[in-house]
Amino acid sequence: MKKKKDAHDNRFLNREWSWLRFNERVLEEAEDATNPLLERLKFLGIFANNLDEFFMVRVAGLYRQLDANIAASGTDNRPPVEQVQGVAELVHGLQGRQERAQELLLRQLGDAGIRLLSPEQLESGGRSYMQRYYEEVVYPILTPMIVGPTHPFPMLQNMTLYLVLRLSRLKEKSTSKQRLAFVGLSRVLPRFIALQREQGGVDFVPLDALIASQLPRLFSGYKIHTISAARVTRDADFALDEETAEDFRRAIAKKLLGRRHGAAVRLEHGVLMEDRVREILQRNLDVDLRQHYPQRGLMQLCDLMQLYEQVDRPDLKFPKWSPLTPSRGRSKTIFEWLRQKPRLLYHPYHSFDPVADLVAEAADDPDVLAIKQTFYRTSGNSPIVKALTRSAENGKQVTVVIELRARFDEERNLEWAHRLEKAGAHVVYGLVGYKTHCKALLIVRREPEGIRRYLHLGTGNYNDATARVYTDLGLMACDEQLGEDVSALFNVITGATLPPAWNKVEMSPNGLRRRLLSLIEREIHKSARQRRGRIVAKMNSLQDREVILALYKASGAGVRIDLIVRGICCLRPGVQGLSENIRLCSIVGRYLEHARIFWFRNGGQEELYLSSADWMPRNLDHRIELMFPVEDPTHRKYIMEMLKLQLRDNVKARELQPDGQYLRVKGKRPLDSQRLIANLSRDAIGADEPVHPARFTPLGRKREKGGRQ
Amino acid sequence: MGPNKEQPHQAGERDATQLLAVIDVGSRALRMAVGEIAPDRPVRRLEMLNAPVSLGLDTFSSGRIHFSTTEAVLRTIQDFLVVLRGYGIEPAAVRAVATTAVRDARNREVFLDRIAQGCGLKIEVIEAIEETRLIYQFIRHLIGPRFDQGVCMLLSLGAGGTQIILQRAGEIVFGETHHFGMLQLWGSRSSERSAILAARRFLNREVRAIQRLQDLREATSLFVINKELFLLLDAVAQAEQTDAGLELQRGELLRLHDELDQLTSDEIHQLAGLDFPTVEMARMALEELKIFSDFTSAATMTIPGASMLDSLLLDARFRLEGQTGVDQISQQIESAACALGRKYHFDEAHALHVRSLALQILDALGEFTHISTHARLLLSVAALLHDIGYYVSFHSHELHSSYLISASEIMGLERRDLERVAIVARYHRREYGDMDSPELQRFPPGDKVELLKLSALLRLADALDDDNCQRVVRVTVELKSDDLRILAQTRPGDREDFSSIAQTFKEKADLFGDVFGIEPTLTEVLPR
Repeated sequence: MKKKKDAHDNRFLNREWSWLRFNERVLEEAEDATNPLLERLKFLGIFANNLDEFFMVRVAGLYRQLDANIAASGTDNRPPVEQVQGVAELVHGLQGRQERAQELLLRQLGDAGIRLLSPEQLESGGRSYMQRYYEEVVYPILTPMIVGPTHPFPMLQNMTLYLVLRLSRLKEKSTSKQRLAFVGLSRVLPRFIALQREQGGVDFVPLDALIASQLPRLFSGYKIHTISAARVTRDADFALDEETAEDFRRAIAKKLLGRRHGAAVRLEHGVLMEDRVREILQRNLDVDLRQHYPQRGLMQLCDLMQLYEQVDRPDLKFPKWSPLTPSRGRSKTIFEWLRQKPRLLYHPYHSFDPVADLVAEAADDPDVLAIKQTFYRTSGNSPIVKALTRSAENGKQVTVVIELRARFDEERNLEWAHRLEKAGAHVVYGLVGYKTHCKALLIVRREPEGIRRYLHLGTGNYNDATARVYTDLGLMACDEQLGEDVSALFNVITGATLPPAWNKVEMSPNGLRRRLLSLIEREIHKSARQRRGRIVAKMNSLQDREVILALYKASGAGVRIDLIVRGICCLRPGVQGLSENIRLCSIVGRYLEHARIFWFRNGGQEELYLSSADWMPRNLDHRIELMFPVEDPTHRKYIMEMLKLQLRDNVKARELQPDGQYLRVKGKRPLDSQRLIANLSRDAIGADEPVHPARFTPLGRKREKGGRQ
Repeated sequence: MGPNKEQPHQAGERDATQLLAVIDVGSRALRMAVGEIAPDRPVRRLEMLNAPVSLGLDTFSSGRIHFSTTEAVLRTIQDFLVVLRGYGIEPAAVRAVATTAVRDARNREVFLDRIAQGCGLKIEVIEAIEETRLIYQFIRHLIGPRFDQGVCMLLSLGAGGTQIILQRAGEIVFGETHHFGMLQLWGSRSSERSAILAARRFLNREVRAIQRLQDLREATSLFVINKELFLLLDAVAQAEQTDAGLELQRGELLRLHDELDQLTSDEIHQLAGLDFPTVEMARMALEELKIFSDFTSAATMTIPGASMLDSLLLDARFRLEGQTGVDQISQQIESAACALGRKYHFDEAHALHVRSLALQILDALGEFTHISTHARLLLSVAALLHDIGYYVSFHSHELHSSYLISASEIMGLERRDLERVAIVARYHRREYGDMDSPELQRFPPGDKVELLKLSALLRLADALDDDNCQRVVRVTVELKSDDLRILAQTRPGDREDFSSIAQTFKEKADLFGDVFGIEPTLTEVLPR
């Protein structure tokens, strides 16, 4: 019998597995005893949240491929069935570690005076408080669903934790009349109910434990045989016919409703769930054994991020870091400040305030004619959105490009869209077939010398909340050529023009891929024995085959390549004859590494670019992205120093091995780049300008999301 | 730091700069430029927008602009207007011009009306010759004095037409518009190879025909306007980048032409990184440039990276600054009229002399005539061309002059103006129309009177050179309340009988009497 040949392309690592390896590094942070306890708990929450999204989009996608009988997919050209199996194996392994970490962390939390208890474990005062809380807050919105002859199996909603009961009427003796009941945990209620202890410390009662304690009352007249928990993850990706959707906003809103009811791709349930209950669920949800994920301990761990916010114990969190705000010296306005020279901001080390100030000052400035801005994701109470609203009400032309297809932020973005439109802003939703992912802000101001354009270009979203936890670079400037480019960019995104010949920037989908490939190619040409070509690039994900092949070719030509890739990486580094000159590390630490920086030696005429794009097909082919140069030598020097530090990191950095494993980097003296960069950033604002700490606003109640781009 | 507001800039401060916007409704694309002008500074381009439309495809294939295209144009213009609102520019302040694709569409009025109704923008449909003038004006401005040296040829290769100007020492000696543009050249052939070969054959034939009319070999420099060609050359040619644009040696042109000829458009698209339609247009432009250059002696050619928008911006700037360069434009128009006259073998000395006499009388009469500067220019052109009808026949030559003028193009004159010139030339002899005559029906009443006045002046001037010998060298005027005396100074030593001139003058002064209400009398003034 002929042996079936493994068709997959071994030069590349699998995208899905690589992503799981990234999430493993997040889990490692939860396991890392050098991190403060509550931070570890939060990492556990981020890990779980990431995994939820991974199942809703990526795993769902693999199942769709299976249904469509697609032979092979992904950068490494692998059969979907093999990928699904690999995912299941990896996730089961990670889940075991997550359960152990959870058990350990909750125990340590208890030791630190923060206990997670069931209502029965509370003292009488606490119990009666819980009783009241249940009756007044929880009970009115509970919807118990019993499966019976007249009540078919309910539609279990995506990402909702359910208590699953097997019960029978008290009067009935026959076991054949037993039935299932479901009680879903409302997402509007906090998962953990806090109770301050008189003697100090705080107890938390999980909402599911509180409801479980009240089930006999809720199902009076029934005998409850067993209680367990279950949670369904559904396919949440949707395709929209953008060409024919007349009202894009409405079409998205409609699709969002459908997201709750997509095909089930994962069934999580308590490890002790009875087989017969599990089988009923399995049959009704149409999931197979590969999609079962029994769990020990708490379920829906993403809620731990709420717990992190609820506990006011600075001693158990990272020490506070006050972002630095650059002094504006004698400049009376931000416009004057920007006219002097371009300003580079590196969040969260530098405050996001100057960006918000630019919009706020523009909103009230009588000479400002227009403000244009892109939005991909923003915060719940964004000062920028408020300023834009004010600006539109002030009669300025406000053009806002809101990406309604930003995954899992669609609903929030619909809100902005509506609010800004009501204020009179010109709101556009980008181009058919392309998500607008670039981060650009333009202010057009009429001055005595003529029109001046002020701009901000960044690697991260206009989100003041995530700017405190995501590391991103932003460039603020009053630059004629860049201004012309950014003006044109907005004309492109609003559909008014074709992309022009750019002065300084490069845009995807039209030219960014070609430009990157030519920059890599140029490095090959300029590489000589005495002075090797060199590329240092940092990004979130590296997946694009064409770019990876170009990097392999460059490696073969002797170009030294250092890559800092936080998340997915399909490039296999350090393989003799393929990639021996490529080193790749990933940094996962307190802040989410999010900047995209590309540096090329260019025979000594160094060039450094910042970008909103990762080196992934989706960024290079299906999104509007921007890459722009950093021309100021001091800015370039600062960024390079920062990159060098990251390349030397041996605390939060892991190096990718040829087999796809990530190993911690060893070093004699520990070097945590994120810590050191904070000091470096102080200098970067300018020695001639004194710095002072920014006003520090505690993190809002909205949860932070990690691992998302 | 709290917001420490800058004082709003005062209106006076702002006056130093002005914003302007122009829109070019072209055959392949709608383009818009927003510019800023300030004293002693070239126009600063703030925005350049370019959105593809299929106007040319519609007009050149079916003769009409389809409804869906009209709506697409409207949406695009609405997008443009949003950009303009960001600068506080209202639609009424925008100069929007349309060229061949709209000009040649049978339903152009419907199209223009829909756009005006839909977004308040009035599109001006300009004649091909006006396109040429705009481009000529821009290139002249861009190149500076060098442009006026030697013999140069300016080729504007548009999607819907080709304009050719030959200039000798700053004076236009030949100006033509041909209705073969890049879109028509590309045509609807089954393959790109057959399209190129067909275009090559066609162009060779056309340029040879032009060569028969005007010797192109004397052109030693060549300026070529075509944005797509510029982009292609910029990407693949070894050309020197100068202030005026790309400078290409003929050798390089031939090499490049041969090299690209071996490639498909797809391969060129890969090579140059240009989109497919741009490559197609650029290939045709390269073909046309190559064939034209074969007929000239130009060793180098300059390809400015400019487009119609730059020309419109400059023109808008001149208009805003009030420096329309009237004298310069008049000279260009007159030299183009002379070029037309030469084409029909006119008696140049007579034509120039009649022009001079007509203007002398007009200027001497001053306020009396109430004739505008522009009408003065029309009189000048009519005087230059009044006899070109002799080319057709000696019988009723004024009628032939009239239709030849109507069918011609003169750079700087709109079609409406040419029609007026034709009327004035028509009435330069024999009977003339009155206010009710059918020939004048299409003109508004004020224009009719002005045309008759111009005709009256031309009749007087023509009478003064009745024998085509330029005996009257100067005229002066004595005007009293009811008496107008024209004093004609004859050439020194002229001993010819003046009575025939006087007789003709008397006969042809009839119209003057009709329109001005005063019969002029002629007196010969002998030179001292």
